[in-house]
Amino acid sequence: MKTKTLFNLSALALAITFTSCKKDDPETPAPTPVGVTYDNGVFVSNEGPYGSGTGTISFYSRSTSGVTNDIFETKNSYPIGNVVQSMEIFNGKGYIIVNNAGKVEIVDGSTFASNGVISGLTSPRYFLGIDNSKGYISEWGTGGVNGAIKVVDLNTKTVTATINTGKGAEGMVKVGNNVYVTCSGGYDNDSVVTVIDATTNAVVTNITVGANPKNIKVDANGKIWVLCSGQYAPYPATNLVKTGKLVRIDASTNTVDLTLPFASAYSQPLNLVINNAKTTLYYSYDGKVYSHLSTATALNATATINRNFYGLGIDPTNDYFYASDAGNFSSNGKVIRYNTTGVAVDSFTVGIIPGNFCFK
Amino acid sequence: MLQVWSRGLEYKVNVNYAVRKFKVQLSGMYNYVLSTNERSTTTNDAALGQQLIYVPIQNGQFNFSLFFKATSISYTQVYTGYRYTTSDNTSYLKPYSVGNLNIAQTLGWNTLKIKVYAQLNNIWQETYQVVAYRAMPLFNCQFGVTVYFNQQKKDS
Repeated sequence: MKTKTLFNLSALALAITFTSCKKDDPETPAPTPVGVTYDNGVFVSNEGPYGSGTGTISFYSRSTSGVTNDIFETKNSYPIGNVVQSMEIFNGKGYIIVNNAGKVEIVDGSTFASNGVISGLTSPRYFLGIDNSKGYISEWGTGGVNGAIKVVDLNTKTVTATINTGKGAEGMVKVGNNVYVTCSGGYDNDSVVTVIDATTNAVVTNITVGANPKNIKVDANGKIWVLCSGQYAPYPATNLVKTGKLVRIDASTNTVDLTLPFASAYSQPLNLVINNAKTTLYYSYDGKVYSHLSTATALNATATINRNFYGLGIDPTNDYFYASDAGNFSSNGKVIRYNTTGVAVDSFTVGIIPGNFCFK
Repeated sequence: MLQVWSRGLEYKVNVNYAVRKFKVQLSGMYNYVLSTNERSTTTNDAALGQQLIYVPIQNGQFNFSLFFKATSISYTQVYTGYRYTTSDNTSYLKPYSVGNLNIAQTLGWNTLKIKVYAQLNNIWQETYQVVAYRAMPLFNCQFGVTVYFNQQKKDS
């Protein structure tokens, strides 16, 4: 009868297991009410987990101070796709750049209802609206070591032409009739800003700046500021062989008229943003956020915010900083809001790896 | 992640039974294991104290096999519970249970032995994901022939 005792004991053990105190089922989130619109706020693009999984868009409302996460799938019942890089609003429509999926999801800028897809892109990065029927999309191309601007017909939502640029086409600004494209090197290295005639789509010139230019902004005087992140020594070295640079371009001559090199051989300057008046630039460097007046001819030694961020944005309505912390890169990230003097106001939780902000 | 704490219960039961020329084999397995991230390289890590991603807390398996002479039929039901896909346990994949059927026949000539089998997977057409956003096949099957050489002759 020893077998029976053993059997009874094991049955008891199993019964205890099934009646454990901890609830196993995770909580199911309440469904978002239908008919909502997203106005007066900020869209946060969350890259999403690498490898598998989808990026998401979160919306922060200025009027209610509330956050709604994953607004795309809530409205359209399908996920955006792998690695959401950025979002831009142009003529009332939202253009969501999905890097790994090689597409741009177009949505209504207010309801977020799907409005079509631009496909046939390879590692797209950012969108720039040119006119009512034309848009530019920068991309890194095959292997991330090429670079091009894809010209898109916004009515048919198709790619109509390809403009070859330097490697890793990234940020874009339009000054006059020219579009300036930073060539970030992609997964390789480059050091030029490609200038394109927005009417003819022809390359005007390539301006040599510093190593691996990423961000590009225009100030109130029409000068173009380019933040070059620098170039790393070959792996496994962790130092920069070319340090970062903040470079100013005179758009009337397409030449560099100011170069400000960074000192650190280990830290890359990143996340160049500009205030609403276009008089002060801000960037991340050496684990801090620094300011730079558009009239200054030397880099600032004092930081505005003593913290490192993954992404940075400035709200044009009140010049508040929106700074993102991606945490451990596999869980929900955080956005911290700072006032103009760099004092933290509040924070909210968004999706996985928040990287870019789109202010509406 | 520097340290993981795993604790729980693993339960296994096996019953063999013979009725005349039939042999019946029943087996069951059930695990309830919590595996949590206990120490991190960064401060304020949202993953601290949370279940590891893609590691189910609960999983179980039930198997019923019937043998008659050189013929066997076997049914297996596998259950996998909730699995988190983010390290702060905010999103997850739903549990799934898949039923598989295996039918095998062994044939023998002298020292040669041939096993012919049919493996029918996911016979109840369960829709499930093992990795997020990667769909798994519905009903699928597999047929095979295994040839054994130089087997000992057995008179039955």
